[in-house]
Amino acid sequence: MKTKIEIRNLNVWFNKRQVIYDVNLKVPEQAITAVIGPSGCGKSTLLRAINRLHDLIPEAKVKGEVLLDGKDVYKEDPLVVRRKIGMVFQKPVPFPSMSIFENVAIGVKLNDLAKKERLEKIVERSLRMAALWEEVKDILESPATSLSVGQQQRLTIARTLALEPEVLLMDEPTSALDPVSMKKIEELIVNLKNDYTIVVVTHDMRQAARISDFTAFMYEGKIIEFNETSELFRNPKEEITEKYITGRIS
Amino acid sequence: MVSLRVKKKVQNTFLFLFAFLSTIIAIIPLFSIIFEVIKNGIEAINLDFFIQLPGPLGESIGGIANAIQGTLILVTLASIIGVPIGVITGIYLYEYGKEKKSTLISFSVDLLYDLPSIVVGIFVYITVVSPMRSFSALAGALALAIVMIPIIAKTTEESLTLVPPTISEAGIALGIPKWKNIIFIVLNSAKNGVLNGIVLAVARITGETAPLIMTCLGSNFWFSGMDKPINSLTLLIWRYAMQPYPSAVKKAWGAAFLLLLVALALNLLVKSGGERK
Amino acid sequence: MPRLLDIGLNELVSITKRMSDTAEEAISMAVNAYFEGKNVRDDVYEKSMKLKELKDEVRDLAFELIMKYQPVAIDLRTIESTLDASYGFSRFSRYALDIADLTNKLGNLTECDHTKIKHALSIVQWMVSKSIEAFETKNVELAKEVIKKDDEIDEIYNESLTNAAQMGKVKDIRCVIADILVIRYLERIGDHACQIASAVGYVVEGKYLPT
Repeated sequence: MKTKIEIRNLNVWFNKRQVIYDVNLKVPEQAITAVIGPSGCGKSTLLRAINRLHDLIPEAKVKGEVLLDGKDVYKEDPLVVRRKIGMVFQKPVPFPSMSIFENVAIGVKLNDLAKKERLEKIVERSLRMAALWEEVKDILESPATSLSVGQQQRLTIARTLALEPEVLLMDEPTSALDPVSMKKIEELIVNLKNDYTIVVVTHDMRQAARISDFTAFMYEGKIIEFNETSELFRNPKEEITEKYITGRIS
Repeated sequence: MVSLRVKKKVQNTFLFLFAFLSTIIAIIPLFSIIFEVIKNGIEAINLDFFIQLPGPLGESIGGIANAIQGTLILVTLASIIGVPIGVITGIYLYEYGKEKKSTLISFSVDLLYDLPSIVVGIFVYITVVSPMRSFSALAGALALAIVMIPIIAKTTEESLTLVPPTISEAGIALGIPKWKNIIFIVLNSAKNGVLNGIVLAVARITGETAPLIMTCLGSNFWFSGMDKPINSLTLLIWRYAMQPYPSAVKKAWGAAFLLLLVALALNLLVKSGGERK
Repeated sequence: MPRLLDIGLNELVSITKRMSDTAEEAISMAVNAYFEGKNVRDDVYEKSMKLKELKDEVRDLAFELIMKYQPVAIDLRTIESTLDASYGFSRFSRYALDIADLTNKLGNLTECDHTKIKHALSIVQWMVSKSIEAFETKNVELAKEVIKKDDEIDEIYNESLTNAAQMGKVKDIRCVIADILVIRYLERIGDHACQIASAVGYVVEGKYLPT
């Protein structure tokens, strides 16, 4: 499979304390790659290093390369990088002062990416892709906070998709949701993989087994194993991997 | 065992009564003020009160029209100067306030916040009134603006800080530049808090007297130019309240009543604004 | 603290042990009866039924564990191979039953020359016992040895077949028939022992051992 993102020799420090050690990873295109590992192993940090969110944190230091289609994102314009690599967070964060429509359109608006007339089309398309259109098409002007938590998360996904990114990074996208919403979002993610390269960080191994094509196991800041999901879960090569996925260590 | 339960009940009731009475005692001055103002002020209210100039001191006719006009002009002008500067300072403190380079600004804002308003008045007297050789509306507005700025800066900063960092992060993840994120996403989310802060600051300066004493002096005539003295409700109260002429005192009570209504209205605005979610 | 899954896995191990014990008993019983001319068909049949029951128990428990705990890696492979092994054990008793039936069908065979059979039998009994041991202890080396022995049984079987085909007049044709059939049944038992041994490789290394 073609590689969409290649992470090379990535090291990250917070306040002089190292949290990511020499990570090398090739994320395949148009597939779902899950990153699993115990709490504090660095999965979220790794994810955020891909879309350069650490730039905002003065205490963070990043060394290494993250190549998107061969070009190091740390040498490109960070704003362009973040438009191409979208991120969905654990807690659904719709912008509270805006309506549903405005929420989806805001990224496009503030980036001056489309004229007013096209916004309606873009919003509809994004909401359809996020499997939310039917539920909100008649209440687009209502405040985004009037939606249920599950709907809010789909809204944030629509907001990200409106920018037409190439990659979707998802940081524990369902941990704040009830099981029914979680199922809907999982189905949505699997549907999206035809058009996007997706990386999902999850503490739920079963979720990784359910939805991902490839899985990377991280432990104490290092990538221990990376393989096709079915292979990793049936026949892991490393002992720590096996200990973790069988629940013998957490 | 029974006696323990009874003892606790007695203690609870006693403490409750104590707290209740303390609150009543604290509120008594407020209600008595309101009562007095309404009782004395309502007599002064008539049409003349609103549209006539006060005339010479001691005149039984006349109204406080120029004071009303003066207060409106001073507050509006002060707001035009103070609100933008205050909000921008608040934004600066939110974004950079924790950094080393900003300690001076942060400290200065805190100092200005605590500064007695009469000192602000003296400052403007020295820097504006003296060189201009005249008390003026401009000086008054400036003094009020200086009082406003730290208040608005602080409430703006606090409101921005109350916005969950996840929102700011989500904005950045959309690939927008930092300044757009602060203004269109974070500030937008903090809208209500910021506006409330502004309304409260306006309510505050409407009732300020000390900075105006040394800057606009007061007058018996209509507004006649930014470089000339101007009257205000507070100045009028200050001038007339202790005069021996009953008509003057009556006008002062009327002005006080009006101010009370304005304060009430603005506070109600804030309350309803806070519920607008 | 043991994992919830471990409680189930231990239960699975104990049922499997009961199965393997019963299967070994069935084989010994049937073979000894064959040498002594006794009819133990009903007893072996009883053991066979017991094994069928246990096989169903294993299956039910295996799927319950899968439903509840969604096991992965070695746990999943253990459950998979336990299902394979339980099938193997039930086949052991099936063939033991066939052997026990021979006395019924062909009459008293105590006079026949049992040397060949005794030889094959000792190998197969070793294979059965060792395959069970390898499975219980997850011993890959032992499993490999079991698989190697299969060649010997195959040879014995082929030999008897060729010999029987070349025999001319015989004193008692029943002996020849019984011989071939017993060796055939023993060969099949050996095959299943190999399957069980092969599964040991799957549990430990993720790949079935080649048979």
